[in-house]
Amino acid sequence: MKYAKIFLYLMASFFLMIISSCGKEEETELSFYHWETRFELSEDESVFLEAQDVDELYIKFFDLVVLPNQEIAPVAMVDFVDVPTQRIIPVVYITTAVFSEIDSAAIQKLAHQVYSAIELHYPHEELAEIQIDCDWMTSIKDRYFYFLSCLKNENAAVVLSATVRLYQYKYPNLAGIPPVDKGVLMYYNMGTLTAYNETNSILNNKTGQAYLGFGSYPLPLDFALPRFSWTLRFRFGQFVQIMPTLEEPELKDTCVFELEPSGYYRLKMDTLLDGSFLRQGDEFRFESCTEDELIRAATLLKSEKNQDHTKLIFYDLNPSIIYEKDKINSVFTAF
Amino acid sequence: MKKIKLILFLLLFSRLQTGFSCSYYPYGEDIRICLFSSNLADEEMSVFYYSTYFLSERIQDGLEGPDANLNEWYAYFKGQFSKETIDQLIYLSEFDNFFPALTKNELYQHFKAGNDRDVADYLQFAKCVEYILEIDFWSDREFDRTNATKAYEIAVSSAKKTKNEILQLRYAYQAVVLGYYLNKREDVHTLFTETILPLKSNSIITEWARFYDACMLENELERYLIFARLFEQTRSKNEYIYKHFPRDKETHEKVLAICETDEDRANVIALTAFMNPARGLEEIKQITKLNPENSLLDVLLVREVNKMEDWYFTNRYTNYGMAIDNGWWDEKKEMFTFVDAVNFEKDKRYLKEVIEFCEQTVKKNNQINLPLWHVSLAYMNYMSGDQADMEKFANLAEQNCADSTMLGELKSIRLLATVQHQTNWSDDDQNELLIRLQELDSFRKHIYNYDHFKGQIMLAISRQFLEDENPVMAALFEGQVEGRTVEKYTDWNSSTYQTFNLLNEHATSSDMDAFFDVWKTPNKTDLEEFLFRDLEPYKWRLTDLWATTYLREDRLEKALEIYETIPDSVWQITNHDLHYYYNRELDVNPFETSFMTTSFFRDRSVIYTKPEFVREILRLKKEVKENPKQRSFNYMLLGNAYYNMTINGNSWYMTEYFMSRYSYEGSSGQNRSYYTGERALHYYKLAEQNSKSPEFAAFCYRLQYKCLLLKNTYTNYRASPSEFMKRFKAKYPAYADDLYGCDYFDYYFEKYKEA
Repeated sequence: MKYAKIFLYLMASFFLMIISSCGKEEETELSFYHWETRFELSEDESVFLEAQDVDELYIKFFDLVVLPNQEIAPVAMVDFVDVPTQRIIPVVYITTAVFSEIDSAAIQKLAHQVYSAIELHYPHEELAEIQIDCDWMTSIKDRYFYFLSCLKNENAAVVLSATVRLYQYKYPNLAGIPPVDKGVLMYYNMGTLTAYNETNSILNNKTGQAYLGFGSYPLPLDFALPRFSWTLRFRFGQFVQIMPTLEEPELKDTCVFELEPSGYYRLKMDTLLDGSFLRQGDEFRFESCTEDELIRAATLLKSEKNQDHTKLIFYDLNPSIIYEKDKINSVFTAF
Repeated sequence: MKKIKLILFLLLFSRLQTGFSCSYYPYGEDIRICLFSSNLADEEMSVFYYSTYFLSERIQDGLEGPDANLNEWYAYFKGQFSKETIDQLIYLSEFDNFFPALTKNELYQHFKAGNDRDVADYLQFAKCVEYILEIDFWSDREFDRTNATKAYEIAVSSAKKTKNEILQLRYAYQAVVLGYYLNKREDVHTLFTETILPLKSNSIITEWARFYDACMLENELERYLIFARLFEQTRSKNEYIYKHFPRDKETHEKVLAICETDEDRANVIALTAFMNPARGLEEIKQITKLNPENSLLDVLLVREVNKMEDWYFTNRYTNYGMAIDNGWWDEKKEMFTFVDAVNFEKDKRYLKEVIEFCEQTVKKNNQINLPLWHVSLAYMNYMSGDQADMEKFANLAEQNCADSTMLGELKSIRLLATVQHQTNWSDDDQNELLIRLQELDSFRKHIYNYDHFKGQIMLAISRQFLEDENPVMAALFEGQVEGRTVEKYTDWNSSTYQTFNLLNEHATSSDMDAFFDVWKTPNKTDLEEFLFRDLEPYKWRLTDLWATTYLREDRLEKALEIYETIPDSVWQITNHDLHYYYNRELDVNPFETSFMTTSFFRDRSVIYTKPEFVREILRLKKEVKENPKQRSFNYMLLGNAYYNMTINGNSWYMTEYFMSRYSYEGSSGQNRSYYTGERALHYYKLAEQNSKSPEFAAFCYRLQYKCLLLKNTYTNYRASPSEFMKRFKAKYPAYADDLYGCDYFDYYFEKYKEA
């Protein structure tokens, strides 16, 4: 009888355990990067963010660059015209040049300066997380990683996260693993923007897929997806420039452009546009992210999740977001 | 920054790929051709020189502070102290270690001795204001409003107290600056109108004060109008003004509408003209008409010439225009060539238009900077190929010109024009050319970015020789292209390789004969001595190219004769600084039947150096003539040898040096078979015809199919593979199916024994 009770007890515990584990769902959270130098939300944008339950925003505070006089300085500092009601995760974008010629003492000082500058400009009370965005490569890896360690030492209570590119994600043994608490896999800019035979350099799931499915990355990961478009200019098949403000409707103006079978828009006349002298025959490739491709991307990334609570962060937040509510929802649902 | 971020991201990945000029780099300033020195016009406007960047690089004259202010202090002290001394004290010292750090500075000693105490006090106060307003992004220090207010009050009271008018102006100016940062709009305006303007000073300080006053004007259009005036009259605030001036035409029109004088209209048009990277002749015409004395006209004229030479020369000289993947080539080449021709015609017409306008202007208008307009006309006429007018305007320029930059530019224009028009180069002509080239160096300090400029002069000369179908001289001048000039033949390791690269693409065997004739002659001209001076260490590499041009032309005896002059050890050398990668590349049997199957792929058991390879081909050719035994097989080996020398072969390096777009465009003129496989096809046909074994004959027919595929891939030739297979089946019905795939290649190949 005693054993029967124990058996029943164990069975009940096991059953409860199964029930509780079945009920434990993976959580996902929607967020956005804000990459402009002026933080100012329209009412529509605020309503949108509230409706989407966006509690957190990744806001780029400044870029860290090497000035022509070789001084390392923060530029393009964000100006908070509005103070966001959401939690803020400050992001600092660092050019690789910063780490090309810097010694350890200077790195320590730089980490302190960066932390202080973030604290100084942080509009809320408590700083919970800092994110560093740097496309590190082998040649600067050690210096960049040392910088991250120093930054973490500034305040161990603050979560430190770093962006991870697809290459770094697939080859952690070659690229190294940044000494941070967590990472964000940037699932965009995966093609060769300058290549004439590229079709979409922003988001190409065929390319992206090749970097996925290689085992769990050693850091807890969130994921970033693109929501931007641009037009790329080519002359004689040679990439010339990015034209971010040239939109597809303008390219469809047949008085000015002619659509080629290859998908390029060819300029029919010499013209001046956005401060650039465009020549007859210049070709333009419009690149954007369709809902279908983004859903496909979200589905692919789903199987890369390695934590219970994962964020899907869209790059970036701008006024056009209010027209993409359904698209964002569909992608988020697929994630 | 988003763009920079993306570019860096892409650059990382682009390094994983190979290619020649297919990637993002080089572009813009790396390749822009500029043979007309931008600093012919005002160097203080250097950031506004034509550039593919948003703004150009600032030319530093060695002084930290603006010339206008330094000149005023220099005059104040009646030349007692050099501008460098004044600059050091005013602009290089810091507030917290002001005088102590400058104990050897003569002006400091002057002050220390008790002289001009009021000036010393003012300068110390100005440094203090500078410190208060200093922005340090890293610092926790916020704008020091308390001290700024105190300083403002001191500046106002000092401006009132001092009897020295110059210091009165400067204290008032400091008050204006501080008032601007303290947002005292009314006070700033009052100070400017009631303290500064009544002084009627011509000092630059008045204009700087006007700038701060304008910045606080509520009426935007009035502010822009004052900005436009200041842009023309001063230099040190121009970058700020340029960046803060609206870019839309509508506002420009509105600002023009409130202008009351032609001078102001010219100022507004001039400022907006700097925002135009396209054709700007209309703006220049309007400014010339409204105010020919506008100080920006010169900069705009030079800028316009720089634009035209960019459109005219950059793609043609550097070949960084068409960079497309081979797959697109046939489809797009025609369109790109057409577009290029259309745009070039438009550029020629525009150049003519600018020349006509400038000619009329110099005839009618003596208020303009005539020497500069004459130099510009000389250069534009060089561009258009008009030797007589080039000479005419160069002479006119020289008559009134004492400016070293202009004299240097005239020398380079004459030099370029000489190369453009000279047809026969006597020894004296050559030596004269060298003297002129060397003379250019004496203008090193005066010509903008001289090393780059000189490199581009060499490039222009090289391209002129190339256009004149003289690849020897073109290659020799190509070897002189240095100074960060990036172009099609650029080699980062050694400019001598540029000589090699150009010859590799353009030289026939007779060109190479001529090249070596000059090299070997003991009686070289001075120019030839100069051009050949660095080539000796690269002798064997160039000799290899010489023999290879014969090999490309299938003139094997001559090729072998030259190859045999190269020591055997060269083919084994591992030092690739001077030699090609022979030991690495010559590692497969060039006579193998090259198929992508295990038994016919990359036979490394037998390898040949280039002379051994040519010797063996010659032997086989003799053998097939003289000996009927294994004739079919030997023909097949010859076919293999020629096939393996094609772009698809296992020994393409026998006749080429680069497997890239570069070689694709490269020596195809002399090495047609590299893309067509026609020589291989010839021998495979002979192998088929001479075979006694029908199986081996069928095999040799199958080998011809490879040549057809090659020609299909790399030329405009279009033949249907299915048609070929039909013919194959008709001719060899029993074997065609077997040989369609690769499973039976071994079996059919072995039939050579019965052939």
